[in-house]
Amino acid sequence: MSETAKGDLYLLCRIGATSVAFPAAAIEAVVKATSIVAIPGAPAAVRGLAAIRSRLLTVIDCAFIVDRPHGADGFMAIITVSGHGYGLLLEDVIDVVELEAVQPLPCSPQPAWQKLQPMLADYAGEPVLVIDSDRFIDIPQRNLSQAA
Amino acid sequence: MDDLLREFVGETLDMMDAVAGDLVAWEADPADRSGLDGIFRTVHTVKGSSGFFDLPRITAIAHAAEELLDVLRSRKGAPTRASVAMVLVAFDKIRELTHAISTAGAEPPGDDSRLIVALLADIRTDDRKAAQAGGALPDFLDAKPTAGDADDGHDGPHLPADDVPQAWRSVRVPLELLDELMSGVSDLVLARNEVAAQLRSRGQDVTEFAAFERMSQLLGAVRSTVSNMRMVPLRHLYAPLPRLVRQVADELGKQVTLSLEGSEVEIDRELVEALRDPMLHMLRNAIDHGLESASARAASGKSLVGKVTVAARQVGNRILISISDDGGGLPIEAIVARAMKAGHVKSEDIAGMDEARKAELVFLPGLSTAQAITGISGRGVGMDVVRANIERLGGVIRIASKAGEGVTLTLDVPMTLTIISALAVDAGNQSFAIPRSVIDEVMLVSSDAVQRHDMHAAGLVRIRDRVLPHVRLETILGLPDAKADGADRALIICRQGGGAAFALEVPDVRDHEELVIKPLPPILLAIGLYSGLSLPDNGQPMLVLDMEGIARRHIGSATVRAAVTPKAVEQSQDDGRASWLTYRDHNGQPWRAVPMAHVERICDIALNHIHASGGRMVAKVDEQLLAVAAECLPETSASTRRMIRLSDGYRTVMLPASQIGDTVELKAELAADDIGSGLIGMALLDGALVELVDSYGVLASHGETVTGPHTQQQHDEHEPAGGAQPLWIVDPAGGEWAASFLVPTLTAAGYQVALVSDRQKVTSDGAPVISLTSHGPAELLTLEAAGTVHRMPAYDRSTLMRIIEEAPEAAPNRSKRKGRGASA
Repeated sequence: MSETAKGDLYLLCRIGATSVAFPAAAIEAVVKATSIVAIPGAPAAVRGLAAIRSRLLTVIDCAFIVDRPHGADGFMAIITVSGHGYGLLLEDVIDVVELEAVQPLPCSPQPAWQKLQPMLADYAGEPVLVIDSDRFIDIPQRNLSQAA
Repeated sequence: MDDLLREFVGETLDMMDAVAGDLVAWEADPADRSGLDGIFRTVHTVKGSSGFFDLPRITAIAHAAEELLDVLRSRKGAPTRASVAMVLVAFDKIRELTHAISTAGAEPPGDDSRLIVALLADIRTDDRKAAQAGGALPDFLDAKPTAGDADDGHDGPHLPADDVPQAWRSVRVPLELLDELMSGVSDLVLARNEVAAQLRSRGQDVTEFAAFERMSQLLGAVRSTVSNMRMVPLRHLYAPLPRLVRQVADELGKQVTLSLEGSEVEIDRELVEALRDPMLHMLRNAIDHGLESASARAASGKSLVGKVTVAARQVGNRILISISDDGGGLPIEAIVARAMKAGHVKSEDIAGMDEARKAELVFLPGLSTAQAITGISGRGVGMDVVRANIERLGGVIRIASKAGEGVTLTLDVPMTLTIISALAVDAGNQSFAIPRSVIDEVMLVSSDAVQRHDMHAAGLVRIRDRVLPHVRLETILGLPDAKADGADRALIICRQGGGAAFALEVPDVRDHEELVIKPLPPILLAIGLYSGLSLPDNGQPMLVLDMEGIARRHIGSATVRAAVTPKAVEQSQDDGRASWLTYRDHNGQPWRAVPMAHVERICDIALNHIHASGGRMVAKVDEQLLAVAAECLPETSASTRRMIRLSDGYRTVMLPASQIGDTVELKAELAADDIGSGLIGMALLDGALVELVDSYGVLASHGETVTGPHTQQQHDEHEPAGGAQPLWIVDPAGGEWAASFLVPTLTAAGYQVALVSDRQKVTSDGAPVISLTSHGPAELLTLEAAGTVHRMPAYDRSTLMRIIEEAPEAAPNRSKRKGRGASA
């Protein structure tokens, strides 16, 4: 992401109290999160299944992954990883914005965020963590043995 | 005309149009050779397919056109106009013939030699001369002056495409387009449901809208059409196999019969294509390496004609395709040697491997064990490639080999993105789907047929005459129980691989549905409870339960145990546990067990020592004729049969057992009185059901029918039973059964019966003693007679009587039996 050209579009949203930006190109849609069906036996980071326009999405609780309490189920960002649809559960979606100068973090983030390998950008004077949305899918999978 | 030929017609017509266009494009711009390979491939395909359908005219023309194209391709620069025209004429001829096939169902008779000579004229001088002499070339070109525009080929002598009956035409559609169509139709169904819900919420009765009903029906019809578009019966995969087998068998000089089973099983079209090559390869292997030569078969007493079977069945949302031969089995030693030579395994690895693991080594790269490279197989494409191809499809390949009996390869491939018929069940606040294919029966727990036997940790349930392991869906899913016990819950009797079954208890059964199964993302697959996702009409996502996985985890699979690892287990009678030997009488049957106390040894009996006489089976063992406890024996290609020699001291019987398991300690969990003939109960072994064989019953019903000279002699010395004999019954519970049933029966039979409550009170040595446990007839009773202790179900009165009657006379003659001192 360090190669990111100036002025790429990002989806600015909130996980816990942190402002996070996903590269907008990977986000297919943002929808209101409704009627999520639980999956017995699934790792805690997997909230359940949702159906959006006859597409089945595995809903990943982003707040849980960064050790934040479950917030209100606000929105889902829909992404596709290896042909499977996922919904990233976000408390709030702010806007699609242009971000400039996405750069590595100057210091190590909190451990909860570390595994997402965030980058840093500045939006209207506020720091924003820039995260590759796919990472939210990899992590619960890698931690599955512990979680399940 | 069958589907395949129809497909060929459609494809060929399409392709001929397309390649004609490509060819003209290449002629126009010789530098751009991008279309050339496509033209070449197409002509080659037409040649191959027409060969397959036995259409010699098309094959010959395509072959000649291919040769000409090959020359044109290898020449640098532009093709000559005449050559291109010739190829186009050939394409037209193929079109024309294909049209004729589509109407007549067969290639019309005719002579294409002039066309072929003209095609080859450009490359072969001889042919050119012949062509010029015969004037073939100008002839053809004159006949079709517009040949250069042959893709506009509806004029001239050809049938217009519109004349082709509709049913015979087909269109090739990318699968993605079908998927899109399918998901679009699913969306429509959801939208329809939404409209219905809104109408209802406004107090309108949906059923009153005829138009709405009509729309629903149409939508249903469209959806089923779309679903069918992806699915094809395995017939399509099977179609080329007989021909291939014939051809390969001819080349190798072997006689082979191929039998194909399960051609009606439906599978995703995509999978048919992906499976074709692995299947062909495995069949070639089976004929080439699997089946022995006719002389070798004759030597081992097999039919000269080898047998190869391809069978398919659907298990849940997977398809199992097995390819079996009745050859000599894998050369395990050679495979091990190769694997070691190739550096895949070390000798210490081998030591710990059983035969099955060793057989799996054939899937390692570079392990062709063919003695000679036979043109058919052994061309460097090994089973490793086959396995890689199957695994790429999300499938598994397994191999089972039996020396002298053949090899079975099983492909286990998913049928993802296919429609399955499923039963929706409720648990918690949601629904789960169970594939209909694994369900035997659905019943209410309150049904009369159901009897609960919650024993120990593993539940058992009896349904009519079957005792099945029993689990609750909530337990499996880790959900709180939805309803109190005894409420109107349902039992779903599920089949498990290998014939075993179990009962899944669910809070509620909802509905049958046709579900479109979508693959699970890896994170959900790893849970191990689910096999797919689905979105039914109500728009609520539904998980499909992986019944095989659940059975494996919660029930255990009876098919897992196979290795023979005998352990010395002391027989202990105090807690009702005893040493049993597990075995199977046929492959695929549930495990059974016989008491170790009755097992003398395990023998392999040569087939020519087994005879059927007078409706009974007899085996010659150690110069003695012994009865075989079976009505008939399954077909086998082996030269011997494995049998367990059972004896209780004075009766001996041979019990056929194709597979010997293990010596285990078992306790009859359920002494069922109606489990079926020949069993005294069921036990659980590693969570799997084992049928406990009533070995005494087997000995009693078969052991005497044919007797060897040794046994015969004993019978000759028998004294007839007579007089009132003393007999003790020990019944600690003082139950009614002993007093009101057993005592009168035995008294009537001429015994002097004493009923006591404690074994200590038995005062006469040697008289038969029947001991009941405190559970009365519900548990096995113990019969001590003639120094032998029999445990038997109380219901088996005839056996009981027989032992009691015969024991006193038999005992004195049985000098070799231990414990005979107790007899009178």
